[in-house]
Amino acid sequence: MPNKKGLRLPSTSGDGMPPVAVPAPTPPPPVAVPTVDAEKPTNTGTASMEALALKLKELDINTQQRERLEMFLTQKQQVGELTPDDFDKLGELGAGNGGVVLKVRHIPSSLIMARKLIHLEIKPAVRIQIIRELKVLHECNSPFIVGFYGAFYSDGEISICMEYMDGGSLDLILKKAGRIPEPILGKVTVAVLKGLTYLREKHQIMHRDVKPSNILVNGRGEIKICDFGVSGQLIDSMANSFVGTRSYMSPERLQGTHYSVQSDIWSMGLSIVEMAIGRYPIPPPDSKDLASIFGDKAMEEHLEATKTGKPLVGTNRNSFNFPTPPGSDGPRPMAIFELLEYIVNEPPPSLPKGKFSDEAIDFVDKCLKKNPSDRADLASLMVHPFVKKSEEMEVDIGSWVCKVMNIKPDTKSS
Amino acid sequence: MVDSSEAENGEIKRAISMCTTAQDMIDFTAIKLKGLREQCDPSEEITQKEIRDTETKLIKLFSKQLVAKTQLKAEDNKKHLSEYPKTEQWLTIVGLKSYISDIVKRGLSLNSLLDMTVEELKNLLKRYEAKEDDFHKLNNALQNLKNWTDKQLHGDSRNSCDGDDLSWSNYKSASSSPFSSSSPKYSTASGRQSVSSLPSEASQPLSLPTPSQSTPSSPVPYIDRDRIRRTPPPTPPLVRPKAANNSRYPSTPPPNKKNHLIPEYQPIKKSKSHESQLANKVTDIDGIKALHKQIMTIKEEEFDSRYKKKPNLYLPNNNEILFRRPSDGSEAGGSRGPSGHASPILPSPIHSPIYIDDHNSLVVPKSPKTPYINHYPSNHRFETKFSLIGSICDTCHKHILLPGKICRECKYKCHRDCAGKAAPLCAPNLYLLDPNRHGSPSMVHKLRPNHSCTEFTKDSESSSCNSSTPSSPFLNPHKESYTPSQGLAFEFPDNPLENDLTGSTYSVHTVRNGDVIGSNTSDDSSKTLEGSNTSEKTLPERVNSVDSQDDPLGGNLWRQNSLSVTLKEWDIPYEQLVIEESIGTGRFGIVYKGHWHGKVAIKMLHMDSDTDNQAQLSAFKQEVAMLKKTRHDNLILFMGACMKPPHLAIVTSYCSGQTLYAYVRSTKEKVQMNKAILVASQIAQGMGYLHARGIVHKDLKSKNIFLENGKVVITDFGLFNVTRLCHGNRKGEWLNISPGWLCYLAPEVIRQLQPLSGKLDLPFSEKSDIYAFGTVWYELLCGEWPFRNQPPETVIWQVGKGLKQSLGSISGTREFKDLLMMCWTFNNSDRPDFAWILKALDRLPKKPLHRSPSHPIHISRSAESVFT
Repeated sequence: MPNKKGLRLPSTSGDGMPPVAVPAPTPPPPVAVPTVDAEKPTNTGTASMEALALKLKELDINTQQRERLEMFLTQKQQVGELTPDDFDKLGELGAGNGGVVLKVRHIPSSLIMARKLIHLEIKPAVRIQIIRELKVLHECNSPFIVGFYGAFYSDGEISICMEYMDGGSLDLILKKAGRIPEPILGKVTVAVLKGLTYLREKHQIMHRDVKPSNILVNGRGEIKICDFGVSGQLIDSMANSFVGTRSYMSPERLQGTHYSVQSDIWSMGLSIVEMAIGRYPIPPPDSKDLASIFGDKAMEEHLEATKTGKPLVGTNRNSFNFPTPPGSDGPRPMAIFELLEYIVNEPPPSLPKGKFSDEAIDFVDKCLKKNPSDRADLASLMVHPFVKKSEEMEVDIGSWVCKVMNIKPDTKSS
Repeated sequence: MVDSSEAENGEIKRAISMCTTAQDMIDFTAIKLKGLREQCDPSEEITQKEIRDTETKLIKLFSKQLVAKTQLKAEDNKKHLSEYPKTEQWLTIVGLKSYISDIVKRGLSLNSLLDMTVEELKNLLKRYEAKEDDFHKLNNALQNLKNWTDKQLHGDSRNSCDGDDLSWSNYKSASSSPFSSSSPKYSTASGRQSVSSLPSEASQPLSLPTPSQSTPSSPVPYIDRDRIRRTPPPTPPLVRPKAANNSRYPSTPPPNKKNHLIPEYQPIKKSKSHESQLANKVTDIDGIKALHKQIMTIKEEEFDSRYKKKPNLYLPNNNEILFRRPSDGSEAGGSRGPSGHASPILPSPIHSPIYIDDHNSLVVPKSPKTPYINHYPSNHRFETKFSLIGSICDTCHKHILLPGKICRECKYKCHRDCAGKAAPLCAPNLYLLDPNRHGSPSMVHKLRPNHSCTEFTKDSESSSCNSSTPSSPFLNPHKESYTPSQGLAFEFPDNPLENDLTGSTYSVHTVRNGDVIGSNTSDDSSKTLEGSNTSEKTLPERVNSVDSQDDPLGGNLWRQNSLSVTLKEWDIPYEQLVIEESIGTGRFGIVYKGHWHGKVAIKMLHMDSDTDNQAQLSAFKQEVAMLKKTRHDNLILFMGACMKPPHLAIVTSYCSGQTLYAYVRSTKEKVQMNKAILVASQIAQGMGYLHARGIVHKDLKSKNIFLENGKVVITDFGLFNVTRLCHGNRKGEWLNISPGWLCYLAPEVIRQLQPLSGKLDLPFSEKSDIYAFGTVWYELLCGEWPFRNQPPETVIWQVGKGLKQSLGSISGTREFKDLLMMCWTFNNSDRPDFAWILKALDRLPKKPLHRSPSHPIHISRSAESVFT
């Protein structure tokens, strides 16, 4: 477990090539993480644990959350250095932007992990820098951030090993659940806000890619964010990027102007609307669509679905269908540009009145202001009535997730 | 066959029953054929055979109906059997679904179709935007039907039609069906003959072959053509009971009556005058005549006599001469211009004495590559000319400010952009004035029966002369005259843009129908490579061009024909390649260094296993066909390609230099202005050449530009389409965007990007290449991509909106930025072309050259000296 010191040393000197890394460039076979890594856990292991424990205390988290974090960190310490040969592939969890995510068993520790593989054809120097930058993730210990075991390079691929979240991402959940009932959505909102706040306050980083597929849940009812832009070099090195049918990028970012953490808030707001209505909300559903989605007793449905995990009526088209551009004469797929143009120029989406609580509607509206300075910031959202209400509400997310995803509740720790 | 002497009633009954029985069989067989086509794997040989058999059967059945109908007396014919044969069903069976309703709506009967010339048929299908493929299917099927019917009617023995294979589907190997290739033309010819009541050729000494798509040599035909195009036939329509039935097309009076209708017409014994007069009256170009009429109007004896004469008229296997529609005659010469349907007179070039006439005596085989000129509407043959600047565009009627296009034939001029929108029909009113086209009228050239044609065929990609078979000279009666040397000096269309569609159609047709095909080569290109003595050389080509028709993507016949040559000359057996290390990964696959007669770069295409092989191959072949035409100092040398799936690869010369991408980023300082200009000029030259060849690069970027000792080498042009088929470019609902790609995409392209990357039908154009050039120019000036490190969505929106990278970091004077801005103009029609860019680059202020050669290498000394 690297401590802060160990981390910063290379990265601050790292604008040029850190001297340590120079010997490495010659074809380092699979175990590419250079010696720099190896020494860290041994030298600084216990010290960092203490430092971490101290840090955990600073966090505003409850006992259960702290216990779980500590447990994760203890396990992680037992795992130690990751090597490419230590994994059994158990399955594929998904293919995301630029890589595939596998469910793997770490053989030495028999821990289940999620291993994200990113294919990169890069020079050794660059990948060393990436691995180094990814080490910041070791420090990101929060109940709202997906845990990080380590990263390494082998066979042209960067591997990022993360905590396995058995509920999967919210976009998968959304497909099963049709829509996500408001009480659950409230809890998700709280978790995302706290995760973003943690990243911002403790690490001065913004997420840059908030969207349902980057919010993970598990059977214990934990909701965590992942895939935040921690390595600039990794982003730059990504061979190809993939642009899909949906964009969560804020208008100001699309326009190439300066953007900030406020941009994450837009993305969060858009994600909430998508999960609430069951489809990507741009262009917005018309009243007919809405009528087909929501019954008269929308609010009761929310409560019921929260308890039972029963799927709600989503849109007829699944969320992966192309939105039909307004006024178009057919199911012509929307060009990417058209979609972006809509985001920039058209009124922002919102939650339908009467189908959600006024607090939720107001919360979303505050997130989806096109002008970033009109948009609420993290701090004000943390005290928004919707958040307050959601925090206080007793919701068994774990059992909802288990019911929706048809998985067994995690009994190991409750 | 029905005995014609029988009582009328019995005759009718029999005919009707024959027709209905045949109809039942047709219905049944059609279903079977449909099943075969749709449910069986067409690549299976057995399926192919089955389909062939079924098609043959259908032909015979239809033929039966036609025969039954024909043998009835005229009056009965209409009344009782008008519903047979069913045209719509015929079209369905042939395989032309989409056009059926249209054609049927126009009241075309099968008979009318049968009676159309190739040209007419082609024009007709064109009107419905039919694919070439459809045309060939229909044409072949019609030919076979005609052939068989004739045989049934007349028992014509010269007709080699043995009924074994009357199929028309494409994938049979050419050699396997010699029959179908040989006969159809014959029958067409006979059809034409039968119509005519002109004196038989016996009375005609003239040896002029009738048909051809050759250049009209006299102005008159144009007039005719114009008339034809716009209006009903110039000849008074015949009043015939069945005329209404035929079609609404301008219809030609039946030849026999034509004579009376044409005032100037004098029955002439000499075919020369015949033809000339007919030529003047070539009115049936689009006209449609009904076969049954022809048959009815002609007495059996006439048929017989003509048929019997045929052997004399035609050289073996060369019937296609007759088949071709005579395109025009020269009125001035008074000697040419048979109507295609004209008459028994027209055909036999060979055995009759050569007719020599003051004006038109010479008939020289016309090279297939000769500019296709006839008085049928045809495609323009555009070439780019600077001299047009200042004149008015015939399409949009605006001034032409940049080098424009002008049709070589009709002098139609327009903007380059307007060329595509130009009135589609070439009206070569002026070309007659061009002496080069005609040759000297006084020249007399003896026919050169055998080899002349072969030569032409050999030389041309689109060998349109099926007459290349030994004994048939490819004669062109319509040319006033040619000297032999002229024949060789024909301007072969070297510009791929100038698709001589009609010409190639002929050639393909020829291929299919000539029974010259001897080798069973099918699409094994490498085998065809081997054989090549003069006479045999043509064969593989033909075979290949037949094969290329199988190409589902190949709408363009020109390409198909060129493919054959491509296959021959550019195929590199995979085994011959020595493949070394990988030197990069492209959108299409991996690039290897290798050896093949020296160092080469090998781009291996990594095809998706799930894409259909045939489609892959044909798309690939098309690109290869295009690549081979690129010969320019600043373009990578294309050496050949491996064309046997799964090993599809493109072999080019090996670029030892670094990419421009690496170059602009390697130097700490920015590229020196003079060098930037020099590099940009070379790029513009290479690109200008590509555009002049009608090739859009589609993927111009600094990574596709190499610097070899200061010389710019552009690579990867035109391969973008192939990449669509390649592995990894189609990933569900995600558009795969390689780094930097977006910043080369013009707004009009970027706005069309779809998440479905399999659907990359992006509107690339010469103008989008200009935009990409702008980005390369930016890189030269700034050493970076514009919009660097911005997420794709951001780039897409900004470029799509016309926002540009700020030019703050650009050094250099305003002129440099102005050029950039010109290239990056939002509106693609406002972007300059490369000729303009070259001039602009030349005008850019140049700094005096640095004394110290601080900049390493890359720019050759000689190049640098330009600036001193």
